[in-house]
Amino acid sequence: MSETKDYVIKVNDVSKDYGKFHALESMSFTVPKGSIYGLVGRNGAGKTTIMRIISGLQKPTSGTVDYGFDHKKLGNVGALVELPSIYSNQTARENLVYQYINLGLKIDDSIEKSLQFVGLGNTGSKKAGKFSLGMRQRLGIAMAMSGNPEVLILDEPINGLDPQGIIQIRDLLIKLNKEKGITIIISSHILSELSKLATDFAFVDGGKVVKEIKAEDLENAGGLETEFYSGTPERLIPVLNAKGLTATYNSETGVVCAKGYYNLTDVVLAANDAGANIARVVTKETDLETYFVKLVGGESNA
Amino acid sequence: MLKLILFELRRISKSVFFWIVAAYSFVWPVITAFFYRAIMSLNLDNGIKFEAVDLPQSEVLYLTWMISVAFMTELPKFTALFTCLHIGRDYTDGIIRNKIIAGHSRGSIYFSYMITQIIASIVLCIIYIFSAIFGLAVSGIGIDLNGGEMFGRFAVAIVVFLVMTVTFVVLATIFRRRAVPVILCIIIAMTSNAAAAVIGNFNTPTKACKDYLNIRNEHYENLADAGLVDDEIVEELEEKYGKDHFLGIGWKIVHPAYVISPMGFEGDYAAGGITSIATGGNVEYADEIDFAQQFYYSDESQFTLLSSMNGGESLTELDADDLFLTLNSFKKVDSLHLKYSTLNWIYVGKSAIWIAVLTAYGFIVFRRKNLF
Repeated sequence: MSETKDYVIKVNDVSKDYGKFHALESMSFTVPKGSIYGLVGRNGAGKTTIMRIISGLQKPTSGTVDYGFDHKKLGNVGALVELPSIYSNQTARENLVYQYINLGLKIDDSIEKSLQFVGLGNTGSKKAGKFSLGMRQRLGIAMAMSGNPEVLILDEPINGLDPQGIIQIRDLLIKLNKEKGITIIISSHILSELSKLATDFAFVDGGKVVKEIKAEDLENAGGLETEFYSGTPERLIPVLNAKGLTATYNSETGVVCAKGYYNLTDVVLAANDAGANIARVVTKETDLETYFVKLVGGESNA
Repeated sequence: MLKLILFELRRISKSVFFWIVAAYSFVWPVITAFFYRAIMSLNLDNGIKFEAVDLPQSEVLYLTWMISVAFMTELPKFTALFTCLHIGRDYTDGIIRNKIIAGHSRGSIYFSYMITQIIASIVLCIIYIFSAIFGLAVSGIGIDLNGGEMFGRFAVAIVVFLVMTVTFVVLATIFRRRAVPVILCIIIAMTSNAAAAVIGNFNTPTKACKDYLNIRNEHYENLADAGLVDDEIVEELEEKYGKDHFLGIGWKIVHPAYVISPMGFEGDYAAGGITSIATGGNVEYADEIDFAQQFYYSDESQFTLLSSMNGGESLTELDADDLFLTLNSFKKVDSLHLKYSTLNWIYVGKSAIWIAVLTAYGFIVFRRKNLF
């Protein structure tokens, strides 16, 4: 009987050297099952290297990677590292057929379903080489998830995409995670997007993980901070607390400070119902980028 | 690995380039057969006329062999390109990464390429051979397969051809920069014919050389004993026809390449077609290689030398058997004869070893190098 593990990937003191260059130095982190695990770090921090090692493309110089599942079973690891690996002279369907053969899967209507799932159901005979970058990324994801993988490893999947493409990929990944329960390891330079996706973060710097944090902890560590200017703080504070915010009143400045995320319309309507007035709202967000800069120092070029 | 083999076979079956080469393999031998038919029936005595040809069976036999086995010289450039482009696409499109990520071992990936490219090459060779036979039949030249024995030599030719295929696969898989194997393979394919022609001229077994020279030198001694030449001339001749001078430096350098590689195939089997004829190789479909004949024909100087030694005396007045060695002199020397039935196994053995060595080398590099 196989042991059920609460993680999908456990990286233990993994180092990787390229000659004299140390790409990774004793990197360790654990990817919880069912999470969307965001890797945040500067260029050259080691994100791609560790993703290549996890996906089996490279071997570590030292250290080990433990898998919480049978990673040797074909298709149990899906990955989109660097660029989508697709035949540019074939259609989306044909690319999936190849991937199915690659994984030893039965070629059936699940191919069409996969294409529909990633929004490429109507590409017909169009060759993948003529796809937009977003379409290529989505096809790459469709191929990566063909074997119904335990973990999906995505290196910069939204790089170079237009805003609509970013939204499509984000929605797709959330759908994969929620509906199919696939654990996702993702890196991105666009931290605002990563913060909308990831449930867990690892901050990578100099080839090692300097901090692992859950999204809610990150929120608590900074998150959204709002200053409410109100003449009736005693009425406003209960309203804010009722909305799940942590509200405090500063008698010196006369400002109600609230931590956490909220829907402004809901708060304003609730305040109105409670007889509280709000003259002005100033928001200060300690976002992922700010947190990252604070953590590793210098400017963010994650 | 079966999954990967199916994957690659599907790709090959859908490759436009493969079908172009297959079409070429079908059309070219037919054209060649008609070309030879036209050349042989052309009569320019009274304008341009094509006449009916009635070839002796020996010529039909040789033409059947030469036109059919020409895939050895015609196909390498295409298989080089096909192999490099086919495998190269897996690198450029990143598909090889997909295979590794999916969980296939590097060994499975490497051997799937090797096996499928070998299958593709065999298919192309078979198309070429059967198309040649078809061309020979429809062109009116006729077919003679030597009672089916020729198929054995075709099989040997295909095995030798596979050494080249394996070389192309190894090169295509071990270079990260995709242009390098394309250039290297094309160079190998283009130069292989010339190299085969050169190497094929140094195919004499060492023992045959030694026996031939011993018999010659013994003959000089006999000439001296008979008073036809003096000792000084014998000494000169023995030095001139000593192993080092007679065989030359080319033999010393190229002969080892002949011994260890299967590149002498075209020379040994008269498979180079025009090349064989142009380089004075054996252009018959023989049962055996007669090395004495090769020596004898290439050694024209023995006639003129002995003629001048006799002060220009008419040679017809002398007993030719006393002066010259004849092919009969070497007829019973075993080392100077090699049956093709034996040579077939030698070439299969040499090719198998090369295929194994090259494959193993490629496998080691493919596994160790960071190519993906």
